[in-house]
Amino acid sequence: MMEAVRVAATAGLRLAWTAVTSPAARVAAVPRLARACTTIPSKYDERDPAPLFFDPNVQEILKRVTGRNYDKIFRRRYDEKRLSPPKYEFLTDEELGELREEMEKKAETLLQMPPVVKQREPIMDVLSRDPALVGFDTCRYIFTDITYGVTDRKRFIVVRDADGTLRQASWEERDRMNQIYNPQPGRKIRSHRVFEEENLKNVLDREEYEFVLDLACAQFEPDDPEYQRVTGRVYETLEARRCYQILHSTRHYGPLCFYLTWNKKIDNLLTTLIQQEMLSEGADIVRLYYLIHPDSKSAGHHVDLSLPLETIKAYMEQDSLQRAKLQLAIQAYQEIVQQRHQCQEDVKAAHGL
Amino acid sequence: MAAPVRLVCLSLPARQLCFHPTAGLRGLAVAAVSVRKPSDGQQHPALCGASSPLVQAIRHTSFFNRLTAEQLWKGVTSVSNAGKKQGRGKGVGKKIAKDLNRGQVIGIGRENMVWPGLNAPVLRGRELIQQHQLPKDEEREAKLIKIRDSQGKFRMLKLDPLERGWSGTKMPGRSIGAPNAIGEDSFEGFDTKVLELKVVTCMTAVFGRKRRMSIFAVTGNGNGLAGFALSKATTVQDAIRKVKNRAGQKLLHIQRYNDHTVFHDFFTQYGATKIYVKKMPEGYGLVCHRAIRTICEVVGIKDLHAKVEGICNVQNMTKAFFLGLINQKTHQQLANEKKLHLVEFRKEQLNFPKVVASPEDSVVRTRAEIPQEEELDLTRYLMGGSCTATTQEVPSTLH
Repeated sequence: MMEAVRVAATAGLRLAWTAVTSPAARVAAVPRLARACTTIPSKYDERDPAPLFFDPNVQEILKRVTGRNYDKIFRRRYDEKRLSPPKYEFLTDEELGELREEMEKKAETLLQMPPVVKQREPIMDVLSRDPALVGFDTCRYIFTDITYGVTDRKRFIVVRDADGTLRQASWEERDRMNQIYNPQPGRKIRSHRVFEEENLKNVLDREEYEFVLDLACAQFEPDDPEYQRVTGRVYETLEARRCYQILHSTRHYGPLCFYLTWNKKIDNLLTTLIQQEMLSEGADIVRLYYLIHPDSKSAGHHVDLSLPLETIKAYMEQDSLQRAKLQLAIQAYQEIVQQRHQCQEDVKAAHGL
Repeated sequence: MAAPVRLVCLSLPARQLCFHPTAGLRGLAVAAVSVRKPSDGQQHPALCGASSPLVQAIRHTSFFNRLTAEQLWKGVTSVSNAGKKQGRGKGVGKKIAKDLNRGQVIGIGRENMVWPGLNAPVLRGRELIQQHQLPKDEEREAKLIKIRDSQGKFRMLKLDPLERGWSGTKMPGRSIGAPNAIGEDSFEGFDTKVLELKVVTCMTAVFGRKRRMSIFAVTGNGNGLAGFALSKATTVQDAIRKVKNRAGQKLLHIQRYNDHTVFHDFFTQYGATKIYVKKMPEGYGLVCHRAIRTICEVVGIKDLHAKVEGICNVQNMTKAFFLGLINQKTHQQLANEKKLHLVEFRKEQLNFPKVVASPEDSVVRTRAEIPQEEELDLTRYLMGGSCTATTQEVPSTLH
């Protein structure tokens, strides 16, 4: 079944078009800086990260570093629903174990990561040009296939322009038509204003990172340039403020680590992890680095799971861009461990053991 | 007495009007509408029909033209002896009304006109005085205001809204401050609230009927420490002082869940007063009798639902509620009694099982060790196997 949609106000559509494309154009206009400390969010627009991201080894590492803090995974969601009084049950050990297993599965679904894929290519498909139709109307016509069961990505949507051209609809037009005929919950036809650059800055200053990321997941497709701009901006802000742990035990931690590793910016993340004595996670990040950048200098280094510090050191020696900083963090960690050991020995000696 | 009635006939474009006597006002309104629009050719179909005159009842007498000004003024500012006995005119002694006529003379007003024959003689010598305006008297308004001010100030409410009790300026519900310090022990952070204040009498051989004020109050620090007391004294001030100091001597520690609500649902009874208390989530507020609400405020309970059944006697209600509060069992106690884990499920946390208490000796019974007939529902277990009757919600489709 085909249905003709008359899109009134061509100017409105053009406005929407420019609103969507202009920030992308702005970012693209800035020459790509090879510096590691650049804070311009980068996009997955050259190499396709999807085969790497969906690689079982990479997925396993990302899931492992995400962590399983159940208090955080099952935290209260502010969904504007009324609270109800808690319920209580007396449970035996076995029943509790069964429930916990169930919850682990539930946590798995809650922590499912938004996919990291390559930015989509613009659609430039012209089906036919009919000069006889030039000036047939002042507005464009959009034809949408609304057959039941057709997915949003495979749906056939074509546009008849006022100059008589029949072409495939652009991504922006497709998003709009899909949301009209097959509305997705939490998605708006006109994007949330929070994603505009100046509003985004305000909301990130309030440290509402997860809110923005969740909202972006609901609003955009993962290959949308807007999605990659917004998430990239959030990741860069987190990197600048070194507060990666805010996203720990959430579904966004994996994509964050992937983004930082992809862009070779893991030095600060490693420093933070060492300071918080999460060495195995640090080693996992280094392993992820080797998987994503197999041509790095220390990639051939033997990775021993039981010695995370050695893995980090090998990375630091050959690939780190902020070597001094990382070395300092490792030294500080070693000193603390040594002092703690000494303290325990002293306590033992004082007790005469 | 039959009221004199005058018939009024309207000679209007809508004189064909007819209506039922009961719909008089409606008819008048319709007539007015049609007067305003005489050019409107269309007439309301209901207005056409048999013609009859427009009837309107007018009374020519009322208390307003039968009584003198003095009588009227007395009527609004005082109350008769018989009325007083029946409890009428309680605010009469207070200065709530002002006589705005005082200081005003007929014929002399704001405009300062000379009215021959009213405020001036008609003839001066042989000259006839004409009606004319004199320059304005600037001081007149100020003089009137001064006279009105001298009649006392009009004051409706004596209390700050934050200090008010349950009702108006009455004592119940009002705060009377912390108990006085005893030696070095001061009652910091405490607040006492009156629950009941009444006159009680007894007959004595010497004085006959002896009146005293009986006051019932509850004190607490809003952090789980509270006590209540009953005191009597001849004056209210003495009674207040006595009751708050006595309540400070009878403090009880009350356990609260997360400092905001009770530990669990419970039923409690004192005399014929039964209270069903329900634990509620944060933000629910205090939905209960005002006396229980006041107690909760001083104890530090913020969310709770309570239903009082039977007699709402404030003293009995307080005793029942305090009994229920101090008989609460903590989660640890419950887990120890049952030798099972007590697990909390919260809907907003996606029903994640949170173990709030495990048996202290870490010996947990297995499924096989639990008898079939044992009560495992927490609320029923706490209520001794019984459950409260609740009305079933009717599905909206059946309405």
